Amino acid sequence: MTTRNSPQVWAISGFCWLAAGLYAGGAQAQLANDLTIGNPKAMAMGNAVTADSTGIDAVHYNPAALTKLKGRQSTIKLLSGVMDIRAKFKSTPNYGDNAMGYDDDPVKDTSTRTLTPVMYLPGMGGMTELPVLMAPLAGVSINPPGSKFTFATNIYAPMALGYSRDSDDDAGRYQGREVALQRITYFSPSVGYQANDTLALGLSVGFSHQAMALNQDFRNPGMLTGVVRMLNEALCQDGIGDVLGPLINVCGAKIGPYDTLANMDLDLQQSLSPTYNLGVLWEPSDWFAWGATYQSEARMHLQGKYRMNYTKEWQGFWSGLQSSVFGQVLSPLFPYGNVSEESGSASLNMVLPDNFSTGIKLRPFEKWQFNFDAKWSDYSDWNKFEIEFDRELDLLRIAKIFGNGNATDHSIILDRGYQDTWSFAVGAQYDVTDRLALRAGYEYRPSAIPKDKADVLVPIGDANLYGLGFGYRWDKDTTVDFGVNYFVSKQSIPAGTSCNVNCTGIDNLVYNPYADLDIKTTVKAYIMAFSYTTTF
Amino acid sequence: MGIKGLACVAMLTLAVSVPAWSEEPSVDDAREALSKKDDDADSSKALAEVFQAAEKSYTLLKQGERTLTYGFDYSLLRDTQITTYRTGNNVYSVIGESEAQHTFTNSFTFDYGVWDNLTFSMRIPLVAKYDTERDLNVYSLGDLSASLRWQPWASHRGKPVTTLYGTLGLPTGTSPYEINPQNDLSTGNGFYSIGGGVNVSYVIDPVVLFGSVGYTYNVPANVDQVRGGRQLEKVDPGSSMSMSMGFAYALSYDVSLSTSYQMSQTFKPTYTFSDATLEGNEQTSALMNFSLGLRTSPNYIVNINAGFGMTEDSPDVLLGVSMPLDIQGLKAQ
Repeated sequence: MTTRNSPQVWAISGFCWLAAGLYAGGAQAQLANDLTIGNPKAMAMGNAVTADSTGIDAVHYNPAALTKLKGRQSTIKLLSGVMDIRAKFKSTPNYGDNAMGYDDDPVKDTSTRTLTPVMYLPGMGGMTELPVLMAPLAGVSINPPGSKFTFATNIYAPMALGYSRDSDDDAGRYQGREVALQRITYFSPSVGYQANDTLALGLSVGFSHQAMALNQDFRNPGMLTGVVRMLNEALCQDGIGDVLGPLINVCGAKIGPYDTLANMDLDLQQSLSPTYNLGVLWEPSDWFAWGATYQSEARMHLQGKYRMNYTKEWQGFWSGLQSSVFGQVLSPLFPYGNVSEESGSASLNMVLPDNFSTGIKLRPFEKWQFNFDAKWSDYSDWNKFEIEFDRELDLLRIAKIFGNGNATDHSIILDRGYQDTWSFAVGAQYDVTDRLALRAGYEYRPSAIPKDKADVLVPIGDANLYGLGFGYRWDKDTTVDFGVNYFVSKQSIPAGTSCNVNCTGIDNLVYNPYADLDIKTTVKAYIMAFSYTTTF
Repeated sequence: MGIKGLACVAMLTLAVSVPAWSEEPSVDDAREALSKKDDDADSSKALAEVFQAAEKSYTLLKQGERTLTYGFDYSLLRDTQITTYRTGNNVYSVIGESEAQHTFTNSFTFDYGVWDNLTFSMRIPLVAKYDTERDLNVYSLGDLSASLRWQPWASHRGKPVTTLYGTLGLPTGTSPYEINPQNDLSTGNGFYSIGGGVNVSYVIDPVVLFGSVGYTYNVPANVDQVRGGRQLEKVDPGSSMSMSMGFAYALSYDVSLSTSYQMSQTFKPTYTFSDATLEGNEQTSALMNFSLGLRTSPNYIVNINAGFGMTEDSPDVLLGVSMPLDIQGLKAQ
């Protein structure tokens, strides 16, 4: 026993040092990767399963581990969860100075919290609020008797983030009144190949549906709207307004820094987005295994519809201005304010980042197993999201002037500037009996979003993921697994530090709806999954 | 045991001994043995099978039978479109835009025999499309379609086989009316369609002649799209008539050839813009298609086909492969 232990102990300590070194070297991680796969074992072990078997979800985690599935097996899974998303908006001491002194912001010193999940249902109305998040998932695998090949297909959700703050007085509605960013892999033909006694290889091809839907209100707290409001209050007195009206008319309606100007509803999808996963699993002995997986990127061109609704104030103010001499001279610069709604087709080029993960599995003692994983994610692909519209929008006429290059006649550019991430995970399993295994795990997930790009739309900063669960072998052919995850991420965005949410410059019109506010966000997710695997 | 029990034993004994009686050799048996059996390999049967594999829409499945077929198709459409643009209030310009659309379709077709003479079929296409002239691409689910094929009269040797069919097309692909035509590509029609028709096939060993006529009603769709500077609000795609004819020929037990001609006429579509209603052009599409059927194992036939379009409205090049998906492990053990 002692002779067997020594190399393992060396391996474990070596890996711990390696992990510590990488961690100290300034690691970053990810957004919602692996959160919604719904594999109870992976969840319980903090997603440290690259060198381990995860049943049918090996299609995602490491297709080489499909070779562990013998005969004909089917798995059904039930995934459920609650996401508690909060944001606090605190005013700074001189709040309002950047908006010509106006500080009657209904959002300041308030907070927003939502628990309402949103899923994107293709062909059934798109973004849909659900009372509870619950997704049934399933997969099958076939290993013909005596064959070195295992074939499989699986249904799973590599990405799912959706919430609703759908109320006219929700403070968070200027960055995500309703949001769904969702990827469902509905068909994933896969093959695992047992090359020899110790080495297995795997390939899976994923056919996925990708959706990106967003509903949000627009406002522009800043000098521009402050000046407009001041002019309105100064010039639209009885008498003065009538005299100046034909020359410059700012009295059509009153818009100010804290008024809602418009609402945008965007519904984009791609029904087929192919990717592939490659995996290798090396098991030289019964106490050590190494695995690695590469998940390819997907270059997507999402297409769909948009609808832009303008408030009466927006329409009244701009149509009033356009009717005066001043407005007509500068007409090309300003919105027309002549429609209440614009709709049409929109598109967005988006890249699903590629991922690489590698890890080891150790069984130093008879009943104990430890997994260590390191994962890289190519989030620097998310530099900019450029949403292209099929026609010129009224809002864009002004946004392109004061948008600092983030808007054109036909498009809005959402500056993301995300960065590549490394995250680390550790998992442990204790075999109580031959049938029952208890599991626990932890994953450290530094954020893909740099501090100066943080926002309230995707409020995911550095995160910790904790997992617990168990597996129980019901009979020779049947296993049940249960896992829970607790995910927590907190971030603080002091006023003026992120030009995706709270910068105050006049050219920061796209898009800083919480200019000059100190923002704190929290996301807590409680996720549970149950799976039932049997032969057929 | 009683009388009933005795009767049972007697019947069992009888049943067991029946084969013994017929084991005596006779001239009839010899004749029977030499005559053709259903499962014998002969060119007529080979032809029928190959024809079934190549022209699935002409044949039916037995009740309860299921098949899954995978198809890979490529088509090329080269075209130059003249588009009018409204740049100001009344200023129009004409711009010629060339496009070269390469379409790759992976399709899965599921057939199910509801009864011996009624077959339900469903096709799921996964489409990848590239426009090399304009440097655009799209991946998407295509338009799902479902059909029922019904053979009202039993088939007799020497008589033609007639089947009636009905189809339903669903606009699950990316609609050409819900995209930005400058930057995006479509993978579907953008409207529902309902169709019906009749297929006839006739076997004259070693040739099968086949033909069909059909009519499809395309359901008008409300849309919201800017086209050439105008707001398009409604599209009435116009209905279409189609016909096809051809023959399949068995070269050997393992190899066969099939040639077909397909033609369809789509009547004038109507485009309702916010300020005017315009009629489009009638479209005539005509295709020649040649296919080669190869039997790679006794029950497995792979079809390869190549074709070309003969009018401006047709694809220029067509290529395809189809094969049954027969995953051994999926069948009950």
